[in-house]
Amino acid sequence: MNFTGILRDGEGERAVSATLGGGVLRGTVDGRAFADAAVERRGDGLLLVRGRAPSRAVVARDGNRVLVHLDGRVHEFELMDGTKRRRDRGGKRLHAGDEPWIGSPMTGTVASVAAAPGDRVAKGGTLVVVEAMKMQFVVRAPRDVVVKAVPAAAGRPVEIGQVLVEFEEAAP
Amino acid sequence: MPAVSRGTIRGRRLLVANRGEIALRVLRTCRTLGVVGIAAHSEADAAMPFVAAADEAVCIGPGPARESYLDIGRVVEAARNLRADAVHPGYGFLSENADFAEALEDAGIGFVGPRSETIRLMGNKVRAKQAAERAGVPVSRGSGNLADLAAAEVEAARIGYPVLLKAAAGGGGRGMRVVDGPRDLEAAFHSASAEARASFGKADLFLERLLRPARHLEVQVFGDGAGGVHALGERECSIQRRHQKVIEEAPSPAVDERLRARLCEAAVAIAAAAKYRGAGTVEFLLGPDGSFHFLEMNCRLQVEHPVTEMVTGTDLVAAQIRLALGGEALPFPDPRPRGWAVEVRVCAEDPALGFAPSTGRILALRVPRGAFVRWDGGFAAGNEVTPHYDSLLGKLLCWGATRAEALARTAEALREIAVLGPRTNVEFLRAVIEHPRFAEGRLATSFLEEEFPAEWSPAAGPAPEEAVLAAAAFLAAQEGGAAAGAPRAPSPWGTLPSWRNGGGGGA
Repeated sequence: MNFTGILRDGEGERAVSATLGGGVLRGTVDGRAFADAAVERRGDGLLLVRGRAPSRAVVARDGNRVLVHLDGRVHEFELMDGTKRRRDRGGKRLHAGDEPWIGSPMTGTVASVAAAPGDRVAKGGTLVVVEAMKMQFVVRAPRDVVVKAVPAAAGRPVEIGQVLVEFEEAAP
Repeated sequence: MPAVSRGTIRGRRLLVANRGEIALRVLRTCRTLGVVGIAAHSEADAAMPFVAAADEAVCIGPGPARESYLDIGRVVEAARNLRADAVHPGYGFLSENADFAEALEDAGIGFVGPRSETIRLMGNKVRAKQAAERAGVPVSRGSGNLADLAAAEVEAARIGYPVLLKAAAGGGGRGMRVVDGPRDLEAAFHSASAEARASFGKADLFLERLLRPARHLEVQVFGDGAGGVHALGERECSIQRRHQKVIEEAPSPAVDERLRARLCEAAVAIAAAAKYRGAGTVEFLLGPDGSFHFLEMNCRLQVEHPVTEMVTGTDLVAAQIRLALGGEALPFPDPRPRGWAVEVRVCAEDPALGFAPSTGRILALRVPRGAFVRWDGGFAAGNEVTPHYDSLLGKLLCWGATRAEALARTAEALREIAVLGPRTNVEFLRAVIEHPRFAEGRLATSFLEEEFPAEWSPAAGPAPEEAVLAAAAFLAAQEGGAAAGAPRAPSPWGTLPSWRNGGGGGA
């Protein structure tokens, strides 16, 4: 059983390969080979033993999203599909701050819209309020922006990552 | 309460008008008591573990709570159709709705909670304070209901800033705003009244002097409905974010035996004066000088009730059900705690995005285990976290002989718990538990604001090469199964498809 592909996380992309056989994993990360790891299914987790310190990982996949829980931390990877580069809709990139748009931080309903095309909004100013689970979340300008378009409309459902407000490329 | 011989509640029928972990908690307790447990659930919750744990289940409407869990008519109708002897409301939803309790009273169905008139009294925070004052318990300086913004301006100036703007029909921190000075009052007034109307259907607000720094303490009480009230000691709930409790513990590091006796005495006085029936909580604020005042009384089981159970050895839910169904009362222990219990609320929310709720399917779930570890959860792998309801996935509780031991077990359990799918606050909770000031017990309601302002992301760790390898191993096993075209390949990996979905960690 083999896998060869590219996994991406917040820090960048890694080329990985893995070969499984007889409970032994042979793997490389960016061409670097790792000592053979004994791999075993144990209870509800995957026991991944490397060297002398055993660590137990839990892994799940949802489409191109691969999630690994290891030692108290969840690592998120995106399985890259050859040459296709998908835009990450769910993660921290929403707050990277340099995109010409801002997405909804959660799935819910647009409670109100404070921005209109042409508005200059200072960093931290309210753009849109999104509501879910009886909580309101204020979506603020990530920097000084000029609003180009507002796809968000009050009362309409939005999904996480869905673009709420678009900005002019460069604030004058 | 009337002495009824043990076992008479066996075979009686209890409808649970709630969902998630609390519904599962109550329905499991029904089984231990031989009571027939009925789940009243929304369409969105049909696949949730609490429905499976019920002896009978009935769908009461679509996902939005307004059309199911908050619809008094539908819940009462379900209780009548299924011949329920009583209804357990859990917390939230209709648990402190006097009209609901009254509708059940009118239908001749028992309500696991106090009488509707008690709920009505305590539900109005202004009248509740007056009742506490009459019972000889100190209350904070404050206003009555505010007619409008102008009245708020006058009252705030009289009380003195900073003030707390609160919803008269409030609870759970909704419709509550801290106002530091006159300049902030107008915006706070409008947003709090809008939130109060959205949450409670009533926009009425009142003002209270803000005690800062302060600790949030509360006393668990249990009344027989005739004036007899037991106190089961205090809980400390100072770790709050936007007035929502995040971590609770019992006992409180700030409470010695003398203070505990005074707090319990005050709580009993308030509850006894109301002839309180069932489980309730009296909340107090404790100032740095050791003085305390009454905040409000919650006429329901609290989310954090298990920390009291763990240090007193009491099953509060069993006691509630026995009382409501006319069973024998349980003996209550004295309120002195044995050891220490800590609860952390594991929520589907993203600390890196200002704790915004996170939704989606739970792909895998490993719940923590071990000696002195309790997981009160509501979800299993495969369940969907929807935007219809609150973000609580479950409560992790650990007991220790000392506070330090309880905290060490909590940190370890937070390392073990794995929720894959929606983002969660698990790593954030561990950061709080391991924070030196938290470990020292120097708590205040402003703790999170001061130590963890705004968004939070974990410190970058070492390169996750092991995690990359684990992902690759998983993908290799999946590809292998697919290539072989045999979902049940005769290898250790043949069972991967089910394992991928979490191996049934369950709640």
